[in-house]
Amino acid sequence: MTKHRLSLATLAVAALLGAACSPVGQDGGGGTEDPRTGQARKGGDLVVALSEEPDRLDPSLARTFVGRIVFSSICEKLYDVDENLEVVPQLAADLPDVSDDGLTVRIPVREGITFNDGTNFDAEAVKRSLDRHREISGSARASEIAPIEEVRVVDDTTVEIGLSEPFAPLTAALADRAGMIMSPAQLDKLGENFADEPVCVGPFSFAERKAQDRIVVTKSEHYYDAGKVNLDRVVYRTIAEPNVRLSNLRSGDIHVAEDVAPTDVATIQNDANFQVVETTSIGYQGITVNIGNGDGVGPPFTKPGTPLASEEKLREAFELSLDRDALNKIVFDGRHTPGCTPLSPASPWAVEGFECTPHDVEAAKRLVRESGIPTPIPVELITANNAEEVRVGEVIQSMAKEAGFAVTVRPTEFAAALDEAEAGNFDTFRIGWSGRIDADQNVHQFQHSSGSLNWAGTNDADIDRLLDEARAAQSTEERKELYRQAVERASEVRGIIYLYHENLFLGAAQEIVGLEYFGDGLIRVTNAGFAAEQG
Amino acid sequence: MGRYLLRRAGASLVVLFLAAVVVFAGVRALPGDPALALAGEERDPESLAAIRAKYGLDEPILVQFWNWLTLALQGDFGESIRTGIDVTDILLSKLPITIELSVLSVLVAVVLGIPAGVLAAVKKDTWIDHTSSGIALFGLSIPNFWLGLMLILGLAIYFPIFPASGYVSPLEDPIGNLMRMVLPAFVLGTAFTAVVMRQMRSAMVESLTADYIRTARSKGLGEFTVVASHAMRNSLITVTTVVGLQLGALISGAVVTEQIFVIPGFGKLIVDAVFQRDFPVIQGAIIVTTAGYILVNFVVDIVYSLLNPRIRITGAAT
Repeated sequence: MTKHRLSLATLAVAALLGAACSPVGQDGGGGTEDPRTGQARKGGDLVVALSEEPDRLDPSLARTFVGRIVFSSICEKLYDVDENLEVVPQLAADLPDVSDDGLTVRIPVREGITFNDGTNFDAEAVKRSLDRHREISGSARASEIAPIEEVRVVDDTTVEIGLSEPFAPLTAALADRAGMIMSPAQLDKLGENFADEPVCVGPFSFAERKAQDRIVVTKSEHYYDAGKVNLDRVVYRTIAEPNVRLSNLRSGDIHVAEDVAPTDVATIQNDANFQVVETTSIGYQGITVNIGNGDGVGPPFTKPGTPLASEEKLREAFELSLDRDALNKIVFDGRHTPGCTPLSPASPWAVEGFECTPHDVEAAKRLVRESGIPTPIPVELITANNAEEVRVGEVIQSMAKEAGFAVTVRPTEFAAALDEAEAGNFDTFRIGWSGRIDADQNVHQFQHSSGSLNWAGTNDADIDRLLDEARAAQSTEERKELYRQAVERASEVRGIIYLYHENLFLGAAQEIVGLEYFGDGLIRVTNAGFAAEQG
Repeated sequence: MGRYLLRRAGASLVVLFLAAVVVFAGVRALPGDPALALAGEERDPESLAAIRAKYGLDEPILVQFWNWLTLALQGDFGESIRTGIDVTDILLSKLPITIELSVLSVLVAVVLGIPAGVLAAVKKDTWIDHTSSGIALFGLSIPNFWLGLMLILGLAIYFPIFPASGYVSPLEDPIGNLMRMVLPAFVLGTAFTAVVMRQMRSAMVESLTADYIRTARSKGLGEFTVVASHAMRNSLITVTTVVGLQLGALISGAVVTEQIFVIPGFGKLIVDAVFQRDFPVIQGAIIVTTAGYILVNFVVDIVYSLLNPRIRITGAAT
């Protein structure tokens, strides 16, 4: 049987089962070339398949992860990250200069560059965008940069930001959508409808959008580094179904497939025409345990009356019953990275040397016995209603059963599950976070008692204090130490039991070179292109 | 005829209004707050409140309904909560795509199903009849999802004849459009072909034993003329009903096929909108689908009279 036929048969079986195929994970002829190397020829249209429809392409209002992928080609930011996820200047000329009291941040901006409508980029434009991010009705950015009180233009190439309190995560926030600078001329023209035809500084310009079908961007003639841009166009198509994304990659209808399932990785690697680009996410996946969200997110924190909420030792027993490595192997072909903190090993903020609670069924049983609560102890686990998540739930169910927990898996449509989480109508919820650059953005809103995503209902004075101090501290080393302590305390409270960090996989045609894929999961296409020898 | 048309039009408006009420209440009965669904990972209370205020989700439901209805009557279905794009524009861009897919799949069903049904009836209880019925049963049973993926594997990947997915307008690229529509139309038409074939066969079997056929044969007409001009014409009335009903259903029922072949039509629109709790899009799409369904059935009634002059549309007709 030829390799092609093997793949065909594999996919056929997958289709029959209505699920992703899961061949033995061995590397084949493809998938070995580093996509960041190789000479690209000029020209060509790259078709990228996204796993869901981006929302509105307005940096102040946008909320979806896939939207960030599209923005990465059309809207540059004051700061970006490099492959080590360290913040580096993009539209800013240098890293910010922070005053001793931490209340004033001075940012030099680049000179001599233009927006994609040909208008001039300057400090005034930066102020206009930052003010819009903070003030526009329905802003998704306002909370990210809430401590900003005022943005002042010092001169054409310098802005000064006044803060209400020291706010160390600001630079990282400006390395995401809050740092995207929009063309003032286009804002004048379109106002709230900026998303209809967004114009920023970027290697590509927005060209057209067909709802639920495609977003097309074309090479910008105004881009300051246009010489490095190889592609003529990038077409972002929305293909929600993973099997369909994979078949479209194989048929050549698309060149890059976002969000390839771990169980599909071997299929792509076994075909010499394709490559897999992999990175470890800066996000996390875990189980949120309802310990104080009996009555909806936020104060007052009321215990929901479940055994897990009332007994800290039972939560420890529950975690002791979980085998993170086995879960990873059973559900994900061992392709993710087991972990037990909110800070991914891919992040510069990772807590080094942190010891996870080991898998120890006997210890778990002992704690259950000591609790005096009769077994089996009922636990309801909400998961998303897709095959992969249900499998995760079932594996957790079987592991916890050994220690005396009777886990009921409740697959729930995602929007409905969010409702339940907000209202506090759950025991445990299998959910994760896609991750942000700064540690604060991965911990504070989930673990701090005032956090808007504190679905667990965590209300711990130590955690609150440590996270507040970490926000205010200016030294990176000091902040790292505070996060280490906060993570240690959070691991005792167990409002969230962290399980693993996803490894993200892109499927790409072998002829594609220059793709940049870091732990933030964005697909950077500025330097991407078709390999010269194909040309 | 005029009175009949007026009555039908009036009844249609009532049905549409009821559909609007049901859809409006139905989407709000769904668990899942659209503000939460839209907020994505940025779910701070201020954002949620702003979203609810912007889309009037914090108003009493009757006020929301009145606001929506008065605008909808003017053809304004609001804007998508998810993308901010005008819903009417979205519907107008999707409708031709799904209509094209539906019409092509009906064409597949008619071209394959009618001859097969006629043949099975004429050769009743022979191996031809049994084979046709077997194929029809297979076509009816086979899941669109599976068939679609198999066709993509076979005819887009293994033998790359057709594109695996996507849509281009026939005005931009007629050949490209047709090439992209062949596989989805075939997939969508497969189950329908089976229905048409079975209906045609039943109707033909009945017609071929009717008195007027015996009369026609006794007059010395050739078998082909008897079958094609007499039996088939009468049998087509039944099939026309099925085609009409099915065409309406296809407009909303192409969901799976559109997902597999990534065709940005109505089915995909509705499914995505439901998952995203995009209320204005769901409401607009379902109202337009309902209107389409009513219209198709109306047209079917008129076609009845053209096929069989004995059926007269009168004020008393139904």
